[in-house]
This record gives sequence, structure tokens and C-alpha cells, in this order.
Amino acid sequence: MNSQELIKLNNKKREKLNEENLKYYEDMLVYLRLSFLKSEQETEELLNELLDHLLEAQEEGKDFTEVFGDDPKQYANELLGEIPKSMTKERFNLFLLGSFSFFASVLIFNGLIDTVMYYIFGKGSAMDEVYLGTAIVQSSISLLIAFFFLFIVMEYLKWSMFKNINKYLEFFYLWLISALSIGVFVLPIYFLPDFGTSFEVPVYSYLIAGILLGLIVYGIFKLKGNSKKASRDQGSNFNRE
Amino acid sequence: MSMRSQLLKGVLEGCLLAVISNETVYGYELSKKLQDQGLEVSEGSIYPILLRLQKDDLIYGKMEKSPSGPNRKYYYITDKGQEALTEFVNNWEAIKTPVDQLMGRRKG
Repeated sequence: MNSQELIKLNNKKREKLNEENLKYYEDMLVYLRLSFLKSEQETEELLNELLDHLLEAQEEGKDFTEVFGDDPKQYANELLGEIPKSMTKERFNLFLLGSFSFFASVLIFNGLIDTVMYYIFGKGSAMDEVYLGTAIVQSSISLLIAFFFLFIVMEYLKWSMFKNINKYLEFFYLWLISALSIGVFVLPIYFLPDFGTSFEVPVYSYLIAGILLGLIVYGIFKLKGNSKKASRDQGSNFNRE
Repeated sequence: MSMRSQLLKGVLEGCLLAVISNETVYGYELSKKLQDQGLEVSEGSIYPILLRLQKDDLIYGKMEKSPSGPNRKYYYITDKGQEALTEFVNNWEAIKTPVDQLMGRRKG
């Protein structure tokens, strides 16, 4: 079974857990899945195995802490320490997919606003002057910030696992993180000087470029799914025929 | 009883290898087998060890249909695991009697 099939199976089986066990188990599930540098296949196989165990224990009237101990976070870390890391190629693909999706959404968002503004409300202009140097530096900085933002959010989620955090406090934390990142995104746009060769492009070209990029991302994603299906039952690093 | 210490972990590793070399088991079954022998380990503590044994290529897991229907991961021992088990048994035999005697003398 590949990781996608395991995830589906997990979703179905999880419904059989009682409320208390489900809460603990889902915390552990999110915690393990957030460790995205670990092999996805291995992580999903383990999650499935732990779920099976918990379900059998539940039938005997045991709860999560009786099976996995009183410190689920420490237990989860112990497990994570033993899961093999994902391969460099897998990581590079993840990075590529993330970058493309980010640029696609930025382009679509900007292109849509500029196009609607000009062609419907008559504000702004039809052409935009692009400075190649500025554009490259700005894109690189934005991408860096985007990944940093993602990293912070994931670390926050991991930190907050297995804790009962006040909902209002949680909202405040996430608001703070978002406000700060948006601030940092805007800074280079204002302070970066124009440099490099410049050319003019119509504003709707951003929209088109964004959609094209989005289609590429979608294509890669589908391709990945299909190749996984083709290699099904070939198994993971752990498994052998 | 916490099975955290290195000594107990090492012993538990040997026990898991012994069970798996005897018969093919899945996780839950394995923890039951240990408990049946009177080893009071927390059930969850076998999973980090199973992962390590797999990483070291001493055992391997295979998803198979179980008699009751759902797919389960069953564990098998490898040749390397068989060697490690033999080594563990030899070490254990060599250490068992002297340690028992020392502990006995302390008590007596």
C-alpha cells in the first residue's frame, strides 16, 4: 500500500476510536505528519500500526496513555528519532512543488487585482514596468520569507501539540505570526531600488503566467500520484518482497 | 515500570528478535507475547524498538491481509537479525550466571 492509500485507510479506521483516544491519537498523528523531512511512507505505515494497536487495546477497555505512556510528546519524539529521513530527491521535489505553488498564487493574486482594477474600475494601468534585477531579488526574498513563515507555523503547531492552549491565546499567537510575516513581505517591496534591464508587460500577463504555473504544479502532482500507483506494492525501504 | 534505561532497551531488543525469529507476528500480538511471559513493558515501547531493528536491517515488515480482514504489518527476521540474535543469546548466557551470583551474594 502506498502512503495515499494508507492515509485513506487511516481516516476510515480512526472513526472507531472513542472521543478521548481520538483526541490523543490525532494529536500524535498531526505531530508525526508535521515532521515533513521524514519518509512519508514509513510515517504512514507506523501511524496505521499504532492505530490498529490502539483499536485493539480500546476493545479491552484500555486508553491511550495506558498503551503509549503518560508523555505522548516524548513518545512521539522517540518514534520520530527512529523513522528514516526522506530521500534528497523527495525533499527537492517537495521544495520545488512548494516554490511553484507559492509563485503561482502570488502571480494569480496580483494579476487578478491589477487586471480587475484596470479593466473594470479604470484604476492603475494596463502595462507594468518590470525591472529584471529587482524582480529576481524580490522573488527570492519573498520565497525565503514564505518558507520561513511555513517553518514557524509548523514549529508552532508542533509546540502546541498535546497542550491545552486557550483558544483566544492561540488566535493571538497565529495573528501575531501572520501580521509579522506580512510586514516582512511588504518591506522589500518598498525599499528595494529598481535595477537591471526593464521591459513593459501587460498586467493580465501575470494572471496568465500564474495560471500556467498552477497547471504545471497540478500536472506534477498528478504525475506523482500516478507513479506512486504504478509502484504500489513495491513497498518502502523497510519492506521486502 | 519504565523501560527507558539502556540496559532494559538492549534486553528488550533481544527479546523482540527472539519472538520474531520464532514466529511471524504483528505489533499488538508481539506486545501480548511479551506480557504473557511476564515482561511488564508498556505496550507502546515496542514500536520505537521495532523501527530501530528495521533500520538496522535485522527485521523487515510486510503488509499482509490478516485472518480477520484488514491489512496488518507482519514482521520477519533477516539473516543479519538471526546473527544478531545468536550473538545476543551468547552474550546473555555469558553474563547471566555471574550477574545472578553477584546479585544473590549482595542479598544474602
